[in-house]
Amino acid sequence: MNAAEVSRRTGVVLCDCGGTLFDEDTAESIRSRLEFDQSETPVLSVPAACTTEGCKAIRAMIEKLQLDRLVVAGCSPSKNERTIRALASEGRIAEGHVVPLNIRETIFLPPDGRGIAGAENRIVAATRAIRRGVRSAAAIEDIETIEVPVEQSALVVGDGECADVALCELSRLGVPATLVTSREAVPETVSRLDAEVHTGARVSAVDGFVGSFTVSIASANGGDPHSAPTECGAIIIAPDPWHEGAGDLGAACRSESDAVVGLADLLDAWESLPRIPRTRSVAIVLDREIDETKASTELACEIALRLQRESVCQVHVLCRDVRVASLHLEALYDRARDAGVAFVKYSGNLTVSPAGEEVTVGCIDDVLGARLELRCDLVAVSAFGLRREHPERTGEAARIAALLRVDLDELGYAQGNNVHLFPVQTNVPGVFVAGAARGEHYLPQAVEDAKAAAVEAHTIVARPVMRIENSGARVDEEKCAICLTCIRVCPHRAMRIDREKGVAENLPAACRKCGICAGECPAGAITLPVYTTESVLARLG
Amino acid sequence: MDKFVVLGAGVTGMTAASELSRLGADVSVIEESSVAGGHVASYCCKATDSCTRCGVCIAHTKLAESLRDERVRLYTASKVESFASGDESVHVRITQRQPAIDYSRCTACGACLRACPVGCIETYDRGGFTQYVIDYDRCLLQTEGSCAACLDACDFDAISAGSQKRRHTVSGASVLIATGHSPFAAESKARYGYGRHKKVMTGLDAEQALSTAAHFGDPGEDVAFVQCVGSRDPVIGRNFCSGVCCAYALRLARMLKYRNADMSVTVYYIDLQNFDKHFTSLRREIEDLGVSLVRGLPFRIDEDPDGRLSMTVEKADGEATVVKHDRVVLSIGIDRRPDANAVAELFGLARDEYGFYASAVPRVYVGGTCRAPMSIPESISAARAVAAEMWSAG
Repeated sequence: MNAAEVSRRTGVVLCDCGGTLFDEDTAESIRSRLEFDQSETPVLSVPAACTTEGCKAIRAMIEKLQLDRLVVAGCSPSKNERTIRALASEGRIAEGHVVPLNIRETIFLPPDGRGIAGAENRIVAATRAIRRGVRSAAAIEDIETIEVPVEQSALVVGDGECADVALCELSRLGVPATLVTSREAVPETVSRLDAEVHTGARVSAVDGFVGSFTVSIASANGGDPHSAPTECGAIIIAPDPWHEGAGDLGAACRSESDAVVGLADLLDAWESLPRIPRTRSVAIVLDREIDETKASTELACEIALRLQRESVCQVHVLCRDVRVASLHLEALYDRARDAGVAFVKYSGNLTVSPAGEEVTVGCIDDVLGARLELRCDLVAVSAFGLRREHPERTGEAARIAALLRVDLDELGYAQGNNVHLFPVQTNVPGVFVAGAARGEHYLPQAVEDAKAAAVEAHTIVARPVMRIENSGARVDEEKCAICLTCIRVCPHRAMRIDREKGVAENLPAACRKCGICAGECPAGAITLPVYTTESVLARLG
Repeated sequence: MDKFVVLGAGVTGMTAASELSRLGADVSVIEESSVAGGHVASYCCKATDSCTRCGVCIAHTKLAESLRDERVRLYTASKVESFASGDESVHVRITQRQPAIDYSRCTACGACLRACPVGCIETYDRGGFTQYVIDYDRCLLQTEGSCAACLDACDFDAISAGSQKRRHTVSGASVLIATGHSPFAAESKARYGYGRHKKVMTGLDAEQALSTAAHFGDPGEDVAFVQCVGSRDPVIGRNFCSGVCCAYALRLARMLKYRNADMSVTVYYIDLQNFDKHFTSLRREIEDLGVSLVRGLPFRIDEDPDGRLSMTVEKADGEATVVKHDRVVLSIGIDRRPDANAVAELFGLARDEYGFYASAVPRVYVGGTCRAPMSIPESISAARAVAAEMWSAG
């Protein structure tokens, strides 16, 4: 008997919910009105489906009556999720073969709630919903559980502390990990880990999907991969907050003056800061074109404090707002001011005009409401206040994200406007972002992100196989013209071309069953087994 | 040992519990109130025609997920009596007020609610998960010592109400303190008149109001938001930024103006904190909508005879001006809970000058807003991070 000949056996569960939903009389009333053959499609009352007793009863029902489709007439599907998941994990019924009907919240709640008035009306409405549910269930295609092997290791890409923390956390969780960094050397905390570390390296190519990524690693200054590709199950992009996302200083400053530098240059010269020659007046400029984060305020305060205290110069910090949203930052700001650093909050345009050996910074002081012209020996502009629109940005994290086809917003940050991906997920299953890759430049927070990303990666690679239902998109070989539309529209990168068969195919591990491919395919070659046209229309009546 | 204890069922505690459960452990969560969710559960979505990434919805999702988790055992209405720490484990003795609901058995049928003779049970729907709030001050079992109406009505053995209190000892390899915060008591800034002036409200009041209505009072009202109430204030010994107030106030101001184009909305601030990766464009959008962002806070608010509010603002040159508005929203910050000292003593926690916790003894971890002011996505990241730490330490 082949698959097409085995008939689909649908059963209906009437959840009695302690007698408040389908009590005996109501259940009987519904049974008498249902117009289908109840020996073919049994309709049974069970104790509350969300309890262990209910689960037991449904299990017995499925076994005894050989059911492969189920309509659960009860309350909110989320309440019965646990029961259905338990039964699915036992292999009794596929989750995708269960049609949940929220009869309680939409029909049976008291009239002052969202229910329908009148007992008779409620029974009629419930009967109609159940009838539709049964037709819908019968139109769902066959779904099985498949096993997708998982590469039980993770890859971390990034320079700096954020990536190092991700690697350490993975190590603590017992996940074999690889680090790819352009740095020539890594700290001892990293080198003594039992992890594969590629220094002076970059990711040159990526293929695959969650559970089975293949990553090619090449030398940081170009050239072919110097070793065989690395396999991993999850990828974490954790760039260095000090560099990722910085704008182009040269273009914005547009000056040939030595007196205008980047704030990062002052940081690099930290040790010798107090001995910078000929500085009597220093201006640190933040928020030049875009608003900066508390990471910049903290850095500016630290540098200003050091200069003000330890050398003979007056430091001005010019910013649009002082960002101190972290417990100790207000105190740091106070210390800087107490030491004599002058903070200027400006609005509107800020000009940096070199004139001989000096530079004049001009702006409107927002507090005094007056124009300010500062003559300085040295102006340090923070590159994070400079706009750099994607795709001109040269940040490594953005480049790798693009390789992985992670959606980036107009500033080059991952996650777009999808808050459901927060804190560290991306639209591509198995790829996680931490810190500056998602617009979080403050190091302590970037570090928390890195740990959270490691935990997410662990979720994926902890087991050697993923047991999932193959309820993802299905492509009709006859109709597929390999137009690549599905590949372009899939937000989760879950479609690819099988060149041998000459057809598009779905990657079950990555598919999120959103249905966009099915909707967009010009040939109508794609269906979702749970949401076939027939099953959807049946639900609508 | 694969068991852990979490104190506090807010977004941090419940996210950590979910994560520990996923890692294979059993988790006992102790919650003081009769429902899980903490403060986040009462926050609203701040979207207009676009999402502003406030994180309230993901917190509700996390909460619902953890409430459905079989390995997470929630003890509501519970107070910690004692804490003991051994070489390999911790033990927390708690007293649980009754009646108490076991959400792993509850079917949300509402029978208990209907059976209660004094109506002290109310539905609490968050993230698609129904809980029940019990008002113990009115409950007959608590006030008169006997009543079992809810217990009798429940067909699912989900309510315990055999006595006024029940004692439990919960044990685990370690405990996470995630007791959260209290919103700053606006009435302590006496010159702002919260509690005296009718139309002075807090950001929390505003949040509640806007979650069910398009505006606060009359549609034509002139509304002002005053930032940094209880934060960045060395005079009252709170010299730190709470971080979350610029985030919620600007989003609420945007919502209000978007829904009521003719309404005048002003935000008075010291500095605007950068709370979102698209802050610059969000700020421009808010200004384009017509919200006025004005630097400078009032130092007092008086109520005029006609009910309007007069705010006295001191400008940079020392001159005081008076601005008038119909309604003022005080953006209150994060303060410690009233029982913060008691909990800190029980668990040997270190406290900074503001009362925020740090762990000081082995097997005790700290996370969430009891540790430092933080936003919802930050709390979720922190919860995951600390759960991993607890699990790795074993």
